[in-house]
Amino acid sequence: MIYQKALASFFANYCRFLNVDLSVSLLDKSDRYNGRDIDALIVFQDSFIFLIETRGLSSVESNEDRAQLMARINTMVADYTTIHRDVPSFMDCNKIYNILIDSDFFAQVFLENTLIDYITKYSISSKDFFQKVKGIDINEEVRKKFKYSDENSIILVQAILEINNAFSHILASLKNNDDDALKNIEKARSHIYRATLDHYKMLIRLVYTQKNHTVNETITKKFQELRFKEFELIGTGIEKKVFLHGDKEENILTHYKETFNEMMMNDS
Amino acid sequence: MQAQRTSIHKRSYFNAPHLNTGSVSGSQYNNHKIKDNNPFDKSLIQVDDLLTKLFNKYNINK
Repeated sequence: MIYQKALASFFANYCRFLNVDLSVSLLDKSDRYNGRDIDALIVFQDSFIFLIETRGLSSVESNEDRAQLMARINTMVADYTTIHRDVPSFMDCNKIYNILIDSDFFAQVFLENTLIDYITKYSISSKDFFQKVKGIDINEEVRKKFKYSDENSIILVQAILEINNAFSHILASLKNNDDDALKNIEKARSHIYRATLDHYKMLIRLVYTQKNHTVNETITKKFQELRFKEFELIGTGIEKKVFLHGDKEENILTHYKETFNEMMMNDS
Repeated sequence: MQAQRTSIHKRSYFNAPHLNTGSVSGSQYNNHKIKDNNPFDKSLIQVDDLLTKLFNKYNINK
């Protein structure tokens, strides 16, 4: 299955899932289904990352792997909708598939748009969160403060929820498919950006709280300046959240990441 | 670098509602209530296992 068809299948299935999940996550009384289903959202998130990361591959093998993944997602969503068959269908999800196959929208968003770059940055931040959290010996006081249960807690729920918000915006842009469609893509990018930032901010909170007495004043001052810059740039597009910090002009996301790394180096 | 994706069988979650993001209102979530006899959970585990395999096969660093 080529990238375009796989992506169309992905969003058609996400549409079927969301159509049910919008009601179930709010109204279902059982423990299993009440609230957002993080495990299901991770499956959608990682499937999307897989499709983006392998978009340049067109071998028979890669096409078969995409087809297998989409077939399993199809089964998963069918099982979900069967369990919740009482939830009415509000969306025409076949239309979503056709739009991605037939219109220019696919190329505009999933080949040319910087949305893809932000997904890649997000993917790297997930890895950073996973690796750094595993490498930090978090003391009892900090664990208690942040309700951090154990060292295996490597999935930051807030980031997953932000990615789900991004998918919802992409779906809305496909559903309406009008002149404003790209505005929803802008909003999707902002949620992905926010999710990436959350990973680094949470790392900073965990580490800084633990060792605030030993972090040198230069790094503390850098974080303070970053916070103020972030405030000054509220309301601007994510591409404009760029400024000179020290001797580098970078996006605020990069500044947070690099200052965090500096703090970690400073510790050793 | 070896690709890393933590499978559904091993991962756990960190919820930080105090993190000031737009997600706070949606931070109620469920996890670790997976039941093998539930058809949705069974198919969810199957997709998750396939993803772990594919991430390793294509060396996707996440």
